Amino acid sequence: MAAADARPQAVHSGSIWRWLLAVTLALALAEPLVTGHTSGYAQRIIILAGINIVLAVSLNLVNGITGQFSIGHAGFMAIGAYVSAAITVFGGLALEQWAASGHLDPARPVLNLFLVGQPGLGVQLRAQVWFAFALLSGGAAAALAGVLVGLPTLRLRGDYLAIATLGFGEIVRVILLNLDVVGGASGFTGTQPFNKLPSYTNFFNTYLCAAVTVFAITALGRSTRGRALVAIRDDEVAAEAVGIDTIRFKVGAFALSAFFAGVAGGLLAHYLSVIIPTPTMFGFMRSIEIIAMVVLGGTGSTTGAVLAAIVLTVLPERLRDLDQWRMVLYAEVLIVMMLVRRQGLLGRAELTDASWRRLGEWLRGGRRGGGLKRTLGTWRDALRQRFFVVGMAPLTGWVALGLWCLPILDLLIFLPALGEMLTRALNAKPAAWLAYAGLPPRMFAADVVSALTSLVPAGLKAVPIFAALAPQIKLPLEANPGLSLAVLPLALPWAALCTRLARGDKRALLWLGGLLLLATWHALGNLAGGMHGGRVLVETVVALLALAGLATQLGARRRLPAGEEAR
Amino acid sequence: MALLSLRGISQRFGGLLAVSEVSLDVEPGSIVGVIGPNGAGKTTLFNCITGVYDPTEGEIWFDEHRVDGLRTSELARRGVARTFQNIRLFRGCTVFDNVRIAGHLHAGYGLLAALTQVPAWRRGEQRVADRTMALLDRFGLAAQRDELGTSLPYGDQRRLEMARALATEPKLLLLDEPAAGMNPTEKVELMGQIRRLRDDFDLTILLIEHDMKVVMGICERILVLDHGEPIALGTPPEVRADPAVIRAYLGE
Repeated sequence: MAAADARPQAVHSGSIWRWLLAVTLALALAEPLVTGHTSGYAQRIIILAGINIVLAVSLNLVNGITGQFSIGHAGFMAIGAYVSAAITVFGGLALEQWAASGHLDPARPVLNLFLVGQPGLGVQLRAQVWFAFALLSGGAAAALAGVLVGLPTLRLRGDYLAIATLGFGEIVRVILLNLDVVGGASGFTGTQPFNKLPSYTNFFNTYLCAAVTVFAITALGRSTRGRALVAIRDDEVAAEAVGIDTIRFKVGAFALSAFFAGVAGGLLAHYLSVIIPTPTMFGFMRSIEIIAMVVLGGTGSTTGAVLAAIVLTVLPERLRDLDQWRMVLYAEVLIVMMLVRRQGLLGRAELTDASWRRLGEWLRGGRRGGGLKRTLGTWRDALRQRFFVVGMAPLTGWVALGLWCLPILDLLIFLPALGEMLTRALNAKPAAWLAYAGLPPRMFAADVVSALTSLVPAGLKAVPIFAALAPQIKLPLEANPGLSLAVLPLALPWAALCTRLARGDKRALLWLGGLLLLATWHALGNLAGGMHGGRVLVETVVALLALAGLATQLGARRRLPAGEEAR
Repeated sequence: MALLSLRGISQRFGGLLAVSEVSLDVEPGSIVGVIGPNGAGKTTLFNCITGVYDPTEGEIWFDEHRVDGLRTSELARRGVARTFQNIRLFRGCTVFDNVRIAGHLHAGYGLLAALTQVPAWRRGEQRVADRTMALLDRFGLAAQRDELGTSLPYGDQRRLEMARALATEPKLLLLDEPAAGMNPTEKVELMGQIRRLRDDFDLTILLIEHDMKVVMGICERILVLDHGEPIALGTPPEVRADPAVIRAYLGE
């Protein structure tokens, strides 16, 4: 047992409780700073980021750690939101009335904690106790729904599970849409005018919930049960063979994840003070947004989910100046992510204090073959491989190239808008420091950027087809944010078709033609700003090509030699 | 009383009778082999014993309880562990974690202890880690404990799978072709290893193997299957002399 002595990773030494205590104290200290010294807008982003951390970290438990692909997280969130809102509105009201009618002795300490409306010291504290109760109930209701949904659906795998959970999320939303007692389609704001849905959510309780979520899921990951979930992701049959009841564990993970989603829903409800069962608040769109966070952070990494939740809350806000272009950018971040780093920012790794040490070593070119220079070299090679298809497996190469063209294309159109935003930003604020440096405020970066970006439309006009459209090209364009994603499913079969139809140079030409087609379609769609004769035509052609691409793929499979098929 | 007792097991897939009327008693502490040509139903029989399939007919008794129809995980809990013909390690887990995961049945703490990280959790984790290291030492894998399980050489992967099976503290170990892909020297080594495992861990072993030298060398009794039907059951010399077995392997 000599080897047993040096065993750093066997049992974690740092106390996670100390960590939680420190976080709580830090939050309590930061609370007055945040509420006192930041704008309402900044506070809003900070709180929404906190809620998104709870959502992303909890979804990561199912999608990342357990490896089940659920896209119904917003459904659980909705359940938590509505249940907790109903409790604070109706429950608070009922309790006040009951107390007022003399059934309850307000002097009794425990019950007194819940009597929000009682005057005197600690009104806020009572509200928070009541709120905590509502959040826990909302979480519990969501967890119960998680068990009910999980039992039948978690026998499914992959896409089937995804579709089943998607269906569940929509069912929840549609039910809420038709539930008049909580406002139906017009949303729930409490019972006006006497008992509004209260705004209990603040910086402190949001981030406390986030800390508890991270704490619970980290603690779980350090136990046999958390590792059992990883085992299920890695090999379900083997997990079962070593005594892990896969169904029970999957449903358990689902329920715990749903619990935290419910809490997040409760936080959101008591922050916005109005909840409406729209797709963007509690439906499909929200689920996708949370999945994007998990994917960006690295499926399976809790710290990655936290980081991504912050980035994907702040980034769209920072890009608000770009109007609809920010959605394009959002999509592109994900596409580029899938191409360059499929496993997400952190992959399955966690960010701990040890990672900072490793980062230092790596920057210094330390032990594990690292070194900034060498890594950059590897990246450069990887990029080269992706841009120049030589040597890659044909289909992968084409698919990769097809995907690459989209962000680049969008970037071309997007650059001027970015330039304008930077110009605006630079002219607005740092005028003071520019003056301090002895420079005329309007010069410098802003002008350089706008000069550079004005080259792009000029460059575009050099291409004949753009020249023809020149009178209409006024960048930045009115963009349809869904466009870039809409091109994606068409680009894939198109690339596949190219590999079927020709070889070598011809294939490249064919592919370029397709690219130009897509590009034109893109530009036309942007210029027209709506359905346009030309766009409809091009769209139809591309769709037909896409179908043809799919057909050749399917046909190819059917034409396999008999021997191959039998195997 | 036999540790494992199969009573007239049949497994039917639609019109195909994969295993037909197999009966077998496995005494505690014995090493029993299952052999037969390809497609004879050996792995199907294993899958019936480990609860992957619920046998169409017949009963399975393990440790004086009827166990057919139970889930694989429940059987593992009761002491049936196995390895797989095509190795199934936890992809993405280190050698250490592959074995540590399987030790979960004997950690001795609950969900609440895990979520609150109380001393019971710490002690349980330490216990599991110690046992894991002991097993890795035993199988000569301690030095590679931080490597990915799937990055090990083939023979080491097989040994790791065995260590993982043993971490569940089984009474009965089922080995599905443990010598597949090994060279003759490794096979001789494996034979000794299996025998030592049985003695040290108080195991009963049931194994499927194609290599006659291995089977004849370590098994005390051998069951021969052909087209799902048991054609012989006896000691190695008996089986080797059995005309039905010779016919099944060499033809008429």
